[in-house]
Amino acid sequence: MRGSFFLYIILFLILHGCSDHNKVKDAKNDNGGNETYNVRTIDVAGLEEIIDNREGKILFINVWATWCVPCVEEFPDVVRIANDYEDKNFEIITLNTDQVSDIESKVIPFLKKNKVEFPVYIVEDKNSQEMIELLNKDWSGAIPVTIIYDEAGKQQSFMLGAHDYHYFKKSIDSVLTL
Amino acid sequence: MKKKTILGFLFFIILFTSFTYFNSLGSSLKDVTKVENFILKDYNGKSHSLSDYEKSKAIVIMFIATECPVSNAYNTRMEKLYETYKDKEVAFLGINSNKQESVEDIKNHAKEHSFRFPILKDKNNIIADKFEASVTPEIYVLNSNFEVMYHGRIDNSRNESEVSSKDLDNALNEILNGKKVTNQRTKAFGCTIKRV
Repeated sequence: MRGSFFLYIILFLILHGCSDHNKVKDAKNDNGGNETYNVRTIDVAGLEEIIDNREGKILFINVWATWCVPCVEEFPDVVRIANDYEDKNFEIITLNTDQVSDIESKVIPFLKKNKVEFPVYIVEDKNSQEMIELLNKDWSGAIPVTIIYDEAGKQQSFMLGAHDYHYFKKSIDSVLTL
Repeated sequence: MKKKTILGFLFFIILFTSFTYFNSLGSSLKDVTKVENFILKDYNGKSHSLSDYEKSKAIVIMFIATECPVSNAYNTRMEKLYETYKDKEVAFLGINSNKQESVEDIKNHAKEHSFRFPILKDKNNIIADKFEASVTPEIYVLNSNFEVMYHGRIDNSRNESEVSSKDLDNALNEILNGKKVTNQRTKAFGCTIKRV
């Protein structure tokens, strides 16, 4: 029995520590690297569809705005995560909370500057409460927030506030190895 | 022995899954239902105690900011709400808990936007912590026992012409008419309160 106990401990440490050995799968996205940025509006039904449609991939969602200083500061790390996990069982989308009238003047120039290639959706104010409730019932709506769903569409991580590349990586890897 | 091993393995899987999820949810927030009295100074150095306003029919606490575009989208509406309810025994208190926004910043901002309600500086975000306020703008409406009657947004759009649900207005009207607030909790995206 004591041997089994140590076996579980070793297994636990392996699952938490050795997380780079994931199956390689194509994780290309809608924008595919071209220069056309298509920021579409999204409602709760649309987001639920994305969450449910996992096809074996985990889902990383970053909620941000160009007016949010910590969001802007962490965004390059989100882009780096997207690039580094492109060939893993990994899908990334971001939910922008600028106003629709700011898409051309603020959001797209920011996406171009950061060379964003992943899908970016914008949440209209009229849908914000439902969206917040869908993502976490205990969340007030303060951004940035980053959420990870596993490949079954179950939420595994809810990260309030700004985080860096290494924090995101650790969180992603722990979900990829579940 | 085999059965014990399987049970142990299942226990481990549950433990691991729980650890991963709850570790990530460590900072989630729960709503407070009642607050204790507190004293804060406004930008002119005058002390305000919550108990100074306990005879009001409602006390509107507004966590606001000088630099947050979402909070700033509501400057005119906050002043309009004050104007609408000031003679109806409703008290309004703005609170600024952002560490990077000084008393001087708050004073200049209030002057610029002609705020007539007091704005209190919450140094070290002590009061924001007591309310568990996390975003600006974030509104709490208290009764005379400092119980939270309404918590959330002012309305449902930063763009005033697109507002279809005046949540704070509705809550205050219901309170003044002796009714229970129908929609006690609302939410909107906003700026994180910058804590020390």
